[in-house]
Amino acid sequence: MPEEKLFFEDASEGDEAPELSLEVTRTHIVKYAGAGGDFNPIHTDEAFAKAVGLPSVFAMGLMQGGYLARMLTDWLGVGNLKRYKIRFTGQVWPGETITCRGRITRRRSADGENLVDCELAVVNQDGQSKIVGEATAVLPSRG
Amino acid sequence: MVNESIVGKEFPPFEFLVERGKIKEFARALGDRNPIYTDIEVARRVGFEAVPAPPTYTASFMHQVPDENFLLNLMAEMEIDVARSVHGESEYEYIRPIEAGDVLTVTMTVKDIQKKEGRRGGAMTLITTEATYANQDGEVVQKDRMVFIERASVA
Repeated sequence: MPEEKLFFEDASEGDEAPELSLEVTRTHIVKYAGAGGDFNPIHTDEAFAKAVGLPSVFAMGLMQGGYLARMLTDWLGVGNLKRYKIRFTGQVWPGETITCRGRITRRRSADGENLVDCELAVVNQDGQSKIVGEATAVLPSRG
Repeated sequence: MVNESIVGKEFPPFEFLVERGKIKEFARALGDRNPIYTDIEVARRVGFEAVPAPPTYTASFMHQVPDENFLLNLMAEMEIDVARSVHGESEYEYIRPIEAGDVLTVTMTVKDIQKKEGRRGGAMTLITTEATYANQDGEVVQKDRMVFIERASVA
């Protein structure tokens, strides 16, 4: 049914996802605001952000949460996720380069499904944490 | 200050139409060039009936329906002080795929309210909400939980 990218037989505990990195710009934030609908001016209006004492606008947590999910679907395929959980640990500011990472922590079978549990992270160029997360996905079998 | 008596409260359900153009826009905004989100033939070859929604797509309902101030209104109803609050966590439980054309019924509930000692002193309040999405056939397809953190007011 879902996309076949990584097969269960080819997955091992400790395997890492191909990293996804980008330098976040105000344009990324504005595009996400338009697509997701979050027009809180703290994310899109520089003058407003400065007036409330912030150095600049900053990204919505779910923007980097969306990039991290894209890294997951690029790696494991669309339609395979069972669970995706993220905790926001730091704001992302324009000019920062963020990197999305994932690693298989457990490979298991349960109720006839082949599953992998993953630990996830988004960090900036200095290694500061922005998101800590985890996911569980069902992987197709070569059968 | 959060009103703790609202744990278990269920808000009136409303409809959320999953639109194909909105899925494309959402995927593009995240730099996602996977044709599965834009080309129905690619989606069908994989086994979907229409283009599927990306994993975090459902979060966008809060800014579309029932109106664009839904989240602010929800926070006001829970008596959360928006100025002292941040979105702390999101969790998605995927049961069946969500695809373009689906008409989802969204039901929001307040799952949990907890007080914790903050790192800088003072109590923080953690409010967990859950959105349940049922499709046009009445099947529950996804559940999203969000945690909002309200910091202690400055004395």
